Amino acid sequence: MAQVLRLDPIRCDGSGICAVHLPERIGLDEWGYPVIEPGPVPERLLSRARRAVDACPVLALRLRQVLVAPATESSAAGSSAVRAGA
Amino acid sequence: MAFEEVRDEPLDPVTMRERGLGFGCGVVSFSGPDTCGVAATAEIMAYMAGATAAQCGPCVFGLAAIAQAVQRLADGTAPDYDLERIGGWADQVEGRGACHHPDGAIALLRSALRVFADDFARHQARRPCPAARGKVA
Repeated sequence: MAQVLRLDPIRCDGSGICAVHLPERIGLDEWGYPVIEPGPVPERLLSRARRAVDACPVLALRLRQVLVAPATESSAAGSSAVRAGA
Repeated sequence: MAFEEVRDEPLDPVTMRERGLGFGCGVVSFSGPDTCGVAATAEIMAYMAGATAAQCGPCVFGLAAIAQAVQRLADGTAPDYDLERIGGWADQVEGRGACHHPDGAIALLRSALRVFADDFARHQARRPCPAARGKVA
């Protein structure tokens, strides 16, 4: 069971707080909106990933369980894995 | 794609997909032989930036930044790094909206940068563009 970070781009208003908590997986674009590394969050970063999720003032960031590690390249494989885990 | 490459192809989603093509943002703009590719692209990108649903940051800010930069290129007022920056913004915007409006806009942009590469290079170097002077820009 792996966990992936999922962003709701409509809710996100670019506070950038998530990137402060988890810079290893979350960067910010030029306008302050998060760019999230695809794929499962490594075990050692999970607690800080949860902190990033909790810190988001608009609840735009979620940790989702997935059954299999989604392929980092194909978004189609990623979304089917999420559906299987949801 | 340039017109010569697709002149005899049917305008049909299945056939187009087989050739790795798509409708992109679905905007049809007829450009004559004396149209400046950069000015035409600026016009379409301004439309696409204006048509954002304004829900996702990368689409709102990214498309606006791209549209303004392409307009600067069309006007001959772009700083040297604008063309390079447009490519970087395209990478930052693509796939980051809740809908595919930005993806369609970026697909059109990439296609335009390829097809009108000569026009863009000329504008970036601020060499005279006979086509942009006059009606379009």
